[in-house]
Amino acid sequence: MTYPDVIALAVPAFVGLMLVEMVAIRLGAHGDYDWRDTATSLAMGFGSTIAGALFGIAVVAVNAGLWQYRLFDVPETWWAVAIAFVLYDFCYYWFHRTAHRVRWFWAGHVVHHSSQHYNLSTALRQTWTGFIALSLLFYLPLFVIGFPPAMIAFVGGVNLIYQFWIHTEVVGRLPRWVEAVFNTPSHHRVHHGRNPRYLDRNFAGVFIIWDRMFGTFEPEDDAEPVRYGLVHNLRGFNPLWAAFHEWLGIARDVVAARSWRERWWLVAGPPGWSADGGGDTAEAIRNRWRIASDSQTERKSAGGVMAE
Amino acid sequence: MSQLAISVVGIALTVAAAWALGFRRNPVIADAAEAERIAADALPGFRPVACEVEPGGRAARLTGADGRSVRIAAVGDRWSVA
Repeated sequence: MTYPDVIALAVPAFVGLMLVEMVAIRLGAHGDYDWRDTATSLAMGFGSTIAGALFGIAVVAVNAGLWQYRLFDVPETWWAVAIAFVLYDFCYYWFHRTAHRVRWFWAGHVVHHSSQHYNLSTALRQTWTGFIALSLLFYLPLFVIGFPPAMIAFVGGVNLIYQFWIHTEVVGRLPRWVEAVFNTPSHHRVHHGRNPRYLDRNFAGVFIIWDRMFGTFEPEDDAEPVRYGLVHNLRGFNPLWAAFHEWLGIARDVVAARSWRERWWLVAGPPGWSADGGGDTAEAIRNRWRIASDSQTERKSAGGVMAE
Repeated sequence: MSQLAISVVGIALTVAAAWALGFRRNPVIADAAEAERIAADALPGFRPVACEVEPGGRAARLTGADGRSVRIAAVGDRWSVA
């Protein structure tokens, strides 16, 4: 079975849909662009394809090498492709969740969240350092099971293309059954939010069911509009800084650390971890927000009792 | 090589389209109240006690009740608070 290069085929559609989205926003649809932000996003996407070409041979070698030791001979049939698609998405969920919870992996993934805008160009703001971050590890079980590397490359491409169109504010909510099963623009807007309520939620690629199953689902709340970007946003549009700033941050922190235990946590702990316990991890930010919300509610209810 | 060239042209056209369609705002901070709102939005719990908006309105410096010094700087049509 031969598989098409779906990403190469999709690129003209990516460009066309971005133009359609811009015009739709100008005609009144919800959403926004900034030409400098878009330039950075597209430069990151371009650099990502270069990095992919540079490291691709090594990735293919690892995948094909492992496949030699496969447990089963998975046939190249339509149903095997369908199973591979679902299993790939399951692996993607765990990769993505780890990419937000472990700083080493976050250093590769942070670039995708570094835009304060949320539009189709944001989808193309991709990492240059995924190979260094070892993100391929999460998909290795698929080759051990016996799925052919070309089949996995194909379903991975389809998975990536699916995730393009959900990076938009133009689409509101979809029919309930779609929102229940699939990752949608609404679910993924939450994922890109830096509001404490939305931090580290909705890691799904195609099927939102993984988040529902593993307790990381958060619905979009119309009363709380999503604020996009990072907890500490970048101060400029330099693609090199966007690509490498977290790696440099890790290096700086590791050099300054006072013990090996601290160094371990600075690399393998959650982003924002600090030895004094006062760091801005997603959990710490959410806890501070919850405490502040609870005390506000208490003050309001106490005020209500006094008023009565 | 030609594929790379086509990609670069595609990027340039898309960015030019964004610019031409008016996605090129450069907002300014009107006053201290707006600076405080931007800071509070980015840093939940931050309570400013002093604020100075820099000339041109594209940046501001604030001091918090907890002693923190915070700088707001324009990043395109958004703000960075650090």
